Amino acid sequence: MTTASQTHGAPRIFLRRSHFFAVPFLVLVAAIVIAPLASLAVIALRGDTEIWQHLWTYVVPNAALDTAGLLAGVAILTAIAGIGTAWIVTAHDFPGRTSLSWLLPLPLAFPTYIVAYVYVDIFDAAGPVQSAFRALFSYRTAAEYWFPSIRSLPGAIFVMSIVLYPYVYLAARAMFLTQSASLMEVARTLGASRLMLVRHVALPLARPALAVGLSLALLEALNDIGASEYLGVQTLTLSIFTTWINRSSLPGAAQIACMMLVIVIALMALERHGRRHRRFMVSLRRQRIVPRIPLTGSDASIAISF
Amino acid sequence: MPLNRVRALIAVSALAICAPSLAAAQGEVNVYTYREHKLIQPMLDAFTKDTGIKVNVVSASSGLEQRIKTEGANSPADVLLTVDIGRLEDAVQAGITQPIKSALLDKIVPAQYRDPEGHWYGISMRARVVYASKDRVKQGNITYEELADPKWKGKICIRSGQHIYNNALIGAMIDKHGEAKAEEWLRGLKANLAQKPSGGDRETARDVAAGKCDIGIGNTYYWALMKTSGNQKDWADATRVILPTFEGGGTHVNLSGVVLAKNAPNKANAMKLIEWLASDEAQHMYADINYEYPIKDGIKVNDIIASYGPLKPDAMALSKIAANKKAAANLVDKVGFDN
Repeated sequence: MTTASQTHGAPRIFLRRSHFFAVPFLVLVAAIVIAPLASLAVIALRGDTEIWQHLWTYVVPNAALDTAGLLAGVAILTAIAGIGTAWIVTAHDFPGRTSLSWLLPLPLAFPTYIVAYVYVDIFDAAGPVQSAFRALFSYRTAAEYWFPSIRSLPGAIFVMSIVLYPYVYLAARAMFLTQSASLMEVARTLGASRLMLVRHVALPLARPALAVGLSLALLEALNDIGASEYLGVQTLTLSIFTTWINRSSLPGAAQIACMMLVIVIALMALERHGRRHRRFMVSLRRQRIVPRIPLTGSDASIAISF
Repeated sequence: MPLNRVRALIAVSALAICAPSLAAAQGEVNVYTYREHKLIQPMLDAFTKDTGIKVNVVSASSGLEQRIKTEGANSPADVLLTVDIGRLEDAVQAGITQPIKSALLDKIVPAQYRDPEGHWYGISMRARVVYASKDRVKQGNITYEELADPKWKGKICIRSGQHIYNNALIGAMIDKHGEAKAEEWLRGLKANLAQKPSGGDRETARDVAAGKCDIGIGNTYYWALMKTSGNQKDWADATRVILPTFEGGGTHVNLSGVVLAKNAPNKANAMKLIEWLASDEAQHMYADINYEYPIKDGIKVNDIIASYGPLKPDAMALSKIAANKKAAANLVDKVGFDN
């Protein structure tokens, strides 16, 4: 609604005579934005076929697979955690709900690689968890038993999802808060169970928010380098770095970067696709907040622990 | 925005842009460095105290060669301080260096630790060694070749094969035995790993301490840093350092080194700094603050480092390792070392 008024208003302001610098200014801004992309293309074209053949044979297949696995895992976990927590704090009432609703986005404030360091410290062979495990079962060394490794692709998915789910949470919560309460009430009066409310009313309504939140989370996961390197996941982003620094090939790095732009565009397309035909307008005059279901006892504790 | 504020903004930005060129005045030297601030700052402070020359530092963890290259003829960089032969060679390849002509340095720095054409000089050394479990490893000696022996299957931890420290070790292996043999060795080492390469040298020691693996590959100074650290001392205490050698050779060493920027605006001061880094005072600091091996003969090695036993560096010229950088990186990809 506000965006509509801006897009209609903007050209009028810039076409006024006193703003005849506007066009060169806008061209300049556009050039600044496009410059890195253009230079990327130029650098990529400088590459020889030898490096590209090497990368394509030995580096890109593995990196693409790791990246795909990472994105898929982060998508699933952030969707579950983000939507789940958003639904719990908007549609239910329980002790600590208000504190939780502002505590939940906080992980976004931590750099991913710091969080990776912390979880490695906790769950690694020398960390408190495995030390206690060894003491409990009288193992002498970490080599004598199997324990899921935090320094692995699943570990990276876990760490990144912990940091990035707030993107989905914030978008979904905003959607849950503003969507028309009457739809919920109608569903409830028609005898919908809590689960049916989620599946047939809340989730379809939240789809655009999910698309926005997920695509942001995935773009962040895609551009991560510190955590991936530390956790030993060979993502495309890390390959750009190692190709530049270790394989001493800036053109090779630029070529992988160009390839990644395709993924970025795909994610943006996915986001648009997720929002298709779904522009839920909320009439401000009639807006009411979703009535919260009070939770007590075990339900409340389950909600908090989630 | 009111016009006068716009003007003020332009003036301030112009000042910010021109500031580096103003800094090219007398009595200064501009240092670009990859080295950790707390390691390098005491040294630069001592240099300023000795000579009165102010040192401006630009610090980064990657991409400084590219930055100097991009800055071109206007680059304020005088000196680039870096670690690892691979990076020194990168700087030369990027065309951002000029020969350091110093009879003094030629006398102090052994020929194998400087560029034949004088584009880079080693200032201090570190060795890539084995952190062995005190409990589970009995042998006192080991060769690098032996790391590929199946008797170590599932017992070795190491960081990414693409990391420059490992790249240099693999490059040295290529120089010793040729590419085909080095590939075989790398496959053998890969088959012996207890887990996918990840983390850094400290995590490697940590994993040995926890019993995830029996031996880890790491640099000499990390062990000393852990030994003197409050919360990492246990990792060092659970391990001991073995200085490995190549079969019929010595221990693989790498360098921290220096290059003189091609367009150094304060060349005279830069040369003073570079020569000062080889002085007794600076060399003692490299030994005792950074726990590195001094490049200069006769400077005492730190006691912790000395406890590893006498270092017998391999005779290989480091420029040969640098020449194998790309081949080593390609081998790591080819055997899927990090996958």
